[in-house]
Amino acid sequence: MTLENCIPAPQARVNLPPAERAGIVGLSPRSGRMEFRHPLIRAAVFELSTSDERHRAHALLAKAFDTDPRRRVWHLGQSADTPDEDVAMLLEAVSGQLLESGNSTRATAALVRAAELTPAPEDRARRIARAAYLGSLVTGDLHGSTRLLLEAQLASSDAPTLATVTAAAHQLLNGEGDASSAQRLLITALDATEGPLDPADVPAMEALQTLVFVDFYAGRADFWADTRAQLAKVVAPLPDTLAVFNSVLADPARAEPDAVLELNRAIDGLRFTSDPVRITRIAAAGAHLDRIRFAREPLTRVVADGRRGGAVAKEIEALFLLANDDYFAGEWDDLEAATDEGLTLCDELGYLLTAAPGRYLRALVDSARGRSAAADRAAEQLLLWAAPRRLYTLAAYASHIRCMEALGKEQFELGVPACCLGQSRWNPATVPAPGGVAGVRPRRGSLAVRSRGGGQRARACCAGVRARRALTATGTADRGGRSSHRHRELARTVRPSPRHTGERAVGVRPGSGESRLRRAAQARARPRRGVHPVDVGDHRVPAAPGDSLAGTGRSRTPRGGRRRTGVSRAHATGSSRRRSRRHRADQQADRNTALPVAADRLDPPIPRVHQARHHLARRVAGCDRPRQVRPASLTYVVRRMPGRGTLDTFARAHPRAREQTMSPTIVLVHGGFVDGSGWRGVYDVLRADGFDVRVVQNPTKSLADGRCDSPRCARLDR
Amino acid sequence: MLDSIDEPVVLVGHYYGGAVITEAGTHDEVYITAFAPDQGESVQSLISTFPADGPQPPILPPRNGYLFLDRAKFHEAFAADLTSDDAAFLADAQVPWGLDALGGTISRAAWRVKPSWYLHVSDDRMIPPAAQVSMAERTGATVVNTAGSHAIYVSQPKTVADLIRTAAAAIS
Repeated sequence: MTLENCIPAPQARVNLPPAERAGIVGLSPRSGRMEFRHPLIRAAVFELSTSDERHRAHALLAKAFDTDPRRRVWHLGQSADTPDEDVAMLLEAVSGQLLESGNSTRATAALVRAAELTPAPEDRARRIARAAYLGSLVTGDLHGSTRLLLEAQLASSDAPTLATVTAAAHQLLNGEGDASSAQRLLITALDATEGPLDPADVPAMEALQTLVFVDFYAGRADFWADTRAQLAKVVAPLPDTLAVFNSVLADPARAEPDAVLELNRAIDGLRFTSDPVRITRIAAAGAHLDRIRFAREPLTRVVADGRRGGAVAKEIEALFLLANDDYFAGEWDDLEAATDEGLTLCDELGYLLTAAPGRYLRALVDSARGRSAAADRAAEQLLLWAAPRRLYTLAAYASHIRCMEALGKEQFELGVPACCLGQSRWNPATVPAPGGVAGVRPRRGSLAVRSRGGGQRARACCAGVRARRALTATGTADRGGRSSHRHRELARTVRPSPRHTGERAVGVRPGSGESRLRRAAQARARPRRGVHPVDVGDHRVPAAPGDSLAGTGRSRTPRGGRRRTGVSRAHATGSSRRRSRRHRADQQADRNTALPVAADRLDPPIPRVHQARHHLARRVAGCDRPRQVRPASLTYVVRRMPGRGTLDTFARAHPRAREQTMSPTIVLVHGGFVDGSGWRGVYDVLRADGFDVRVVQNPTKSLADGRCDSPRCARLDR
Repeated sequence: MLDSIDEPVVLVGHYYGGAVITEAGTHDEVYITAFAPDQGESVQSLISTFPADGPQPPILPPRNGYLFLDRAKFHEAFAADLTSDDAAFLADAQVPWGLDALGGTISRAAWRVKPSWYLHVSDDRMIPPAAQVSMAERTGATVVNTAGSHAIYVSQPKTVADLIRTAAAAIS
């Protein structure tokens, strides 16, 4: 929605001066047109308006743009509230024009709207299919776009399949971050499906799964409500990936114990699967209950698979999931390597939304390591990208980064608004409804007391700080003065709930100001209980002012028991998924505040510290997991076929609730001049042994055919 | 078919099927007197390396891009250890083999990253035993020897199944 050209509309002009005085709109010196002062103001105005107001605004704009048919039709479409074939046809035509002019995102949006406004079901179906095709085109990787074009055209010539729509929604979401179009596309397509949904109906389940992803990124209560309505149409039980997703990702804090057990079982089962989609989904669900570390091995396989040219999109997700785990385990070097790799792939393939979690994690580490310019920039970019798309989860990411940054600089007056922004302004779904609504709740009490962290050589000192305890422990609270007063204020506000904790990782480095230095020194040295100097490299760091200390996040106290409390605590809080991360930070903070125990134990024998450091830190950080790489025999590759795009890959790699078994399936492939019937004898013997056996019928026309008649793609090409 | 298959998978290929499983992904592979081309190779290029002095497979000149075996020589060349009736049926039920299939090059050889097994058949007239040996050695496969014809998978199902069972056991 834009007002930039609305001056011709008399009604609008009448109302403009107050808006101009308030600094909401202004004459752009660049374009000479009336514009909003800032994209965020535009987003905010849109956010605050009711749907009636929006309809009216669109109607006005449609009138104002009577000389610009494209815009007129667009606004006409937005202002319509009942199905109208005429408007739908106009929109479809405009969509074609937009496509020709290279604006495929808009073209898709126009077509989605056209489909929504179409009264006749078959026409609507046709337009959806077409929109699906466009959606795929928009975000499909360039290598595959030609092929995608062909496939999507084929798809749209028939009735639209849910699979096509799902693929398109997936593309819209992960590429452009167009959650709104993706959601409408999916809901419309699912609504068009008659009767209850069968859990064995793969396209339908995929559509629902994609819908859950859309909802997660959008972070909007109304989306979740729509999704729940669709989920209710499924005859129980849901496929396990979907069930786990719905119960854990949507609302980890309210995950039932059964759901957590289910999740544990699913994660455990990942050892036996090579399906990258399944692995990344289950791990993503596990992320919110601190279980990625148990999925590291399968995720690593997904990454390896992607590096070999397999499911690259999944590789990206796996990299960021691993990075997420690295963040909480304090393996920040690993995190940076993983996000580097993932973000490069995102750039190459155009996965814009998929990149967001990577940028977020990266910025958190940038912030913690003192690269505040980079962190600021990342937060700004995230926000600017997310706001017009109404992706509240990303906006919350940005707020979290800003909050961390502000706290690191002791700019509490900035940090608090950043938190509040993250919590309220960006989150209409603050209170999740029963049954699972993922609202977006950044860590309100994120109170990392952290001076500016250093560079590569920086030594580490980790002490996650539960706000109050940290203040007391480090003695800063006794110092008086504005900052510590603010500390106390904040601490008090978060006091009622012990869950409102800080991030961890106190990094201290010579600051520019003398007072900061002194405070830093005191923070470390004073009671020497809250913060324990830790060496990261080969040298133990003396706890003296002037040393470079940067948080590693590696904590060292073997109090793994606390980590286990995550589920019950998360369960008890009744909160959103974001909060479960906070629990994790909580637990980390708990461990860190427990450092005095460790300090007593580990101090002073330095060699022992050296020896024990790794083990302890890993155990405490919960990364003392078995990292052995399973035999490569369990890995398979979703091959990226030359000239094939993501639609293809997506359709091909779709997950099923497979019964995981260690007994392999035997696939018999005949050679030239014969067919598969000659395998009968071998088949019988193996069957008698209890094996699952398949016999491939290969036309032996070409090796490419052979590929597609082999198990990998037979289904698709028939 | 993919969707209905539980992982893990053991791919078993006979003759040209070896090229298919080499290209089909990265699963454990069992080659039953099969081609095991490397990246960039094709069945065609492998055949061209076979010794010219030994018995040659009675492949007829291509028709419309497809190859056939000489029906009269099928029994001896392809299925010497089957009854003449069974061999005759195979000969008469032949599937034309596309030249494109023979010429298709391997984009990535699965055996480079996965364990493999090779059933070496000593009386094969379609793939000379020496060529089987060199391919098997190159793949680093666990090799099992047996006497029999090219149609070993029809004539000795138990031997073939035993090797497959070994491969499956290695996975689980």
